[in-house]
Amino acid sequence: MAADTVVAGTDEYGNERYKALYEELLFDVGKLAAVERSYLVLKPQVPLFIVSVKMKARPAAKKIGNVASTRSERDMVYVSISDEMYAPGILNALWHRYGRDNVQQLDRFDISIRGAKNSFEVDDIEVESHEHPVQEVLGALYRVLPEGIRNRRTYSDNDVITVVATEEIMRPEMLEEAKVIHAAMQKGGEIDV
Amino acid sequence: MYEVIMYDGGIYRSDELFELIEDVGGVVLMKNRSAQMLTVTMSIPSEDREVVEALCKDIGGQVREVPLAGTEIAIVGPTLGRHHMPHPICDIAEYLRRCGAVTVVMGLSRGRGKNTSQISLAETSTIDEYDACVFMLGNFKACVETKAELLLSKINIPTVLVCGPKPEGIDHTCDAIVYGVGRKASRMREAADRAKLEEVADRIEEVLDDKKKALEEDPPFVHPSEIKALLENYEPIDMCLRPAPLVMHLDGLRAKIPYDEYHREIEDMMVYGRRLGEVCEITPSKINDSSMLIRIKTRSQVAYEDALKAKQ
Repeated sequence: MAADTVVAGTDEYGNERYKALYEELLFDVGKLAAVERSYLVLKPQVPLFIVSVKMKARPAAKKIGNVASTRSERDMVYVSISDEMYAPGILNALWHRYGRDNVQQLDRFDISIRGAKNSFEVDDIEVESHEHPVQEVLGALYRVLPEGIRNRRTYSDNDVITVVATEEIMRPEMLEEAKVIHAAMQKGGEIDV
Repeated sequence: MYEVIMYDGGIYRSDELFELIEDVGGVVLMKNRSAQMLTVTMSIPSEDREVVEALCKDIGGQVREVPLAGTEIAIVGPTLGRHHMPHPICDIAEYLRRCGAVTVVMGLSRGRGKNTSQISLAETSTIDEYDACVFMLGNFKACVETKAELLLSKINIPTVLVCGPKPEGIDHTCDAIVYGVGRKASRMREAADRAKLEEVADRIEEVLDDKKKALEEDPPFVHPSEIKALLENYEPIDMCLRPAPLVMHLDGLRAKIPYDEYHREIEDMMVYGRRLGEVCEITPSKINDSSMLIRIKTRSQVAYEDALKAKQ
């Protein structure tokens, strides 16, 4: 579960339910464990919604070496996938680099490659960019926010993502409030808005 | 006095059940077959219930009470987006289906938001075709109260509002309120959730009972089940591949065949020595032109029209 989820808002019932909804949706995309701290501002009467998330670590690009083990034998390189979630991405990246004729999936977890120089070259191939986890978290945050609250701005720096959303006109004071929360989340201090 | 019950069991020896329903003067309201399983919603005389129940048991099925049988209910959400579907709207629809109702899930085209949410005339007139509607709103009190005023007050059929917090000052917009549900991201499978589903079904039953009482004061000229029995053997209905081509309402039916092609033939059918067109208002459905609505006129309405004709 998330280390710390704080909800500030005017609607007692809504606060409680949205906390559960937020954690459930982040859990669904597999990112709840990667979140260190979350701060939600829910003001439905304005309406203004701010969700700020601090990740445990700065999202980094995933390479084949991070999610699979590789070994070279004669002119072949063998890949043994350890995290199946990345299997389609690995296959796609290998096809792209070496061509379909040279990449063969032997079974669910094993792939053989003809034409690779050595296993280090294969280890270094990127399967997921550093932006991907951020996009997944953003997707979950957009699902958390009510559907009609469509006017949205996103701030993303290093390991903190903040989304501010309102229904009609985004006023400067709303953006200011989001920036204060975003800065406080980065510093890790108390939030007082 | 007729009672509505549901047989839930296998297809084995079901022909005996259909024969018995016919013998006791009952009507099959709905029949659903899925592989070797069968559910039959039937209306039978109270005095013959015991015999029918005994046969159902004998052929290996169960008999269940279906308080909402013979009704079509709309479950309406602000949109069909993933924020509102499938939970809890589909859970409510499924539960009401188990209570015997035919349910339809729909979403508004511009129902999302708080101050910008809207309901169009086409949407209200589509919802008004049903016997009752369950309207689902979210978790914030301010939003529920604003949206109830904007959306629900325009609906003219009995409406049950299902929402998260307990709203205030919106009693005039709907007939009943069930609170404690709200927006969810998972199925309603826990004990507290099941209790809420039961509560929704109970409130629907209550608002429909009020509608039934109002209808009893000036009842329809014929019972909808009699028109259903008449139309069942009509070839376009018989050949219709849509599930439940005839759906009963409290004061009429929905026939899922194109209005333009068949309404004249249906109007010319005879019931109790009268043309169906004389005792019913047959209109195209607002959803699209592939179905029609048959609303049965009340006895006083028919008598009044007879008197007018006699004067002329």
